[in-house]
Amino acid sequence: MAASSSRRADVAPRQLTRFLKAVAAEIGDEWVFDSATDVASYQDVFALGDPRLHSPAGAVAPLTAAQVQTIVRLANRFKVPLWTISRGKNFGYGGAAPVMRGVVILDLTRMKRIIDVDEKLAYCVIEPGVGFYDLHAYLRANGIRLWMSCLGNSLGSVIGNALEHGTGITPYADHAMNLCGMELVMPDGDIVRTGMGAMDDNPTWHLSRHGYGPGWEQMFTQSNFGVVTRAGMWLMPEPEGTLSMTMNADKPEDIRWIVDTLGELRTKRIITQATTVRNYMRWAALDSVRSDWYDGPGAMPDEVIERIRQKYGVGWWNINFRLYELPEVNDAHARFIEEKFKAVTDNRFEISRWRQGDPPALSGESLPGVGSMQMVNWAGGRGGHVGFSPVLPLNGELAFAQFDRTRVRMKEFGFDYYGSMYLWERAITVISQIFFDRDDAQMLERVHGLFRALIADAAQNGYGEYRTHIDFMDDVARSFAFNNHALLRWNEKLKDALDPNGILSPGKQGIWPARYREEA
Amino acid sequence: MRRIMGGRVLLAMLPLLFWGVVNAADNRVTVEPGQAYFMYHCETCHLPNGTGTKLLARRVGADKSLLVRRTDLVGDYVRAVVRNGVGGMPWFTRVEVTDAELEEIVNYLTRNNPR
Repeated sequence: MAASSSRRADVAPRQLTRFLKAVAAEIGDEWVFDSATDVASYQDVFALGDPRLHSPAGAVAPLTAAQVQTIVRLANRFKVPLWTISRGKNFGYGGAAPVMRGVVILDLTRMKRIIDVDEKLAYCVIEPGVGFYDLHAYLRANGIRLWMSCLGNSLGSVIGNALEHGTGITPYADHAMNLCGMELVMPDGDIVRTGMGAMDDNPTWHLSRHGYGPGWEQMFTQSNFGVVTRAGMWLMPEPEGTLSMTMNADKPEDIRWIVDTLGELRTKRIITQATTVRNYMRWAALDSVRSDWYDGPGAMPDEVIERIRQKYGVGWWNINFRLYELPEVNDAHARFIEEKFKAVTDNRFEISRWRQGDPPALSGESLPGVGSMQMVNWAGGRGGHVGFSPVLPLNGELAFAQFDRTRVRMKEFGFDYYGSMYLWERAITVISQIFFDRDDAQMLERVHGLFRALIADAAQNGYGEYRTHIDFMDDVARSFAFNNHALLRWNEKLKDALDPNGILSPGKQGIWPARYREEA
Repeated sequence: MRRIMGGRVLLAMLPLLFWGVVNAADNRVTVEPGQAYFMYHCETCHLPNGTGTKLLARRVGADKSLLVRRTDLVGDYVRAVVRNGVGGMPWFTRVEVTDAELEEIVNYLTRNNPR
């Protein structure tokens, strides 16, 4: 199984107890947890095997940045490693669970302040415990006409998702790029503000991505170099209008012209949202479970796929995106897009329009939801899912080849292919979802085998994943191998300099402090 | 529009802001705490046609799928489901749903049970 799961925090029970007591004295007994039930509540909801392999030893839940500082200093004193979570809803990637057993969860769920929202300059300043639903409720309750970029599962943290490189499907879909201006507690307990925030009371902290000197913010995403205690997030001004375009395609190989045609429109910024292309499985998994369609072993045969497509009236691939802002400009862009597609296909777009004054429900605003949680039961039993998501050049032939390799591998390991593609301006994320039954040990073995094969296949073609589950963080880190893993070595050099006691999130993204590092 | 509202006040009011369950005549909140906590913590999924309601319909039938209409929920079962999850529903830590909040939710969901 996962190499990372063999490591355990070297904290003696007495040492842990002393640490938790010291924290309790600072933040209150009721926010320090070490009972068996509490510990289990931080395990991975969709664990790919025995969840105890990633079980923490306890949890502490501060309310303020000052309390985070205190906890980090105490962790240094008692040499107790922490694992930071914002709200712990990183489902499919490990949820709240740490890479390494025996650490203490630093749970920021209580840090829920919405510190500032500026409607004119379209940004908010929030703490990591603020969820998508919280921020949306606040915007609505105060009549603020700013749109968020939400997810299929919006139970999580706005900041936490951005820090994990999470994505949506709006022009603001690259969430890490919306981060502007952070406050951090560093591994030594110091507090740092990035960019223009390094100056007292500078009003451009959350407005300008560049400060003076090196820009550090992306270094604190998918990392274990600091604890983000607040951040600015750019939001989208409510547009004057939207125009929705939908098209289906019948054959798997159609992904070639879909990606190439949409890709050009993305690079030119005619289409400004992260454009998604999904296969039929999305509709089937949202509405049904596998056994409703097929009970046999291995991946579903083509005849079953055809029945699914007929029932939901969907294509093998399904394109939907929106154009945003001035209705007249949207119409002009839609005509341009239609012309581009006429050159490659006889298929036509279905188009619908919304403008200010029309019913808001038709606007296409990205609202918080949990619909995608319905999919996890696809394989039967207590469901779970894990996504494999390499990043490729925005190129139809390459996207088809990656899709085809993945589909063949999934079939080989007995899984139904579920694919969606996110088109960025120059790259494409090719996401394949693997659904499994958490209680089927044999199936979980197959998930591990499949996932490692997919990592190797992608790496062989020069591609790496943008994000991964805690079981595979070391494997994916190892696939970034240029110059004898120079980037990982650099990250670990930095880790040792900033965090000599190895306190913050050991093993996150494969970055281990010296204390827990294993020689390859 | 800067500094619309202080954060602490907001936190306390979030369940209410979310649904705007406020009596317009005297501006007083008209829901009991259990309902407010249920709305905040549970109704993201357990509302009519919500994800939780749909999944429950598959498991226990449509007539029992909407939790607020149930008259047969047992307190200990609600506690167990919230703390341990069930099927596709994830569990909740005691930081996210405190014990006190869970008790209010239990009171609310069992309010119509035959006594």
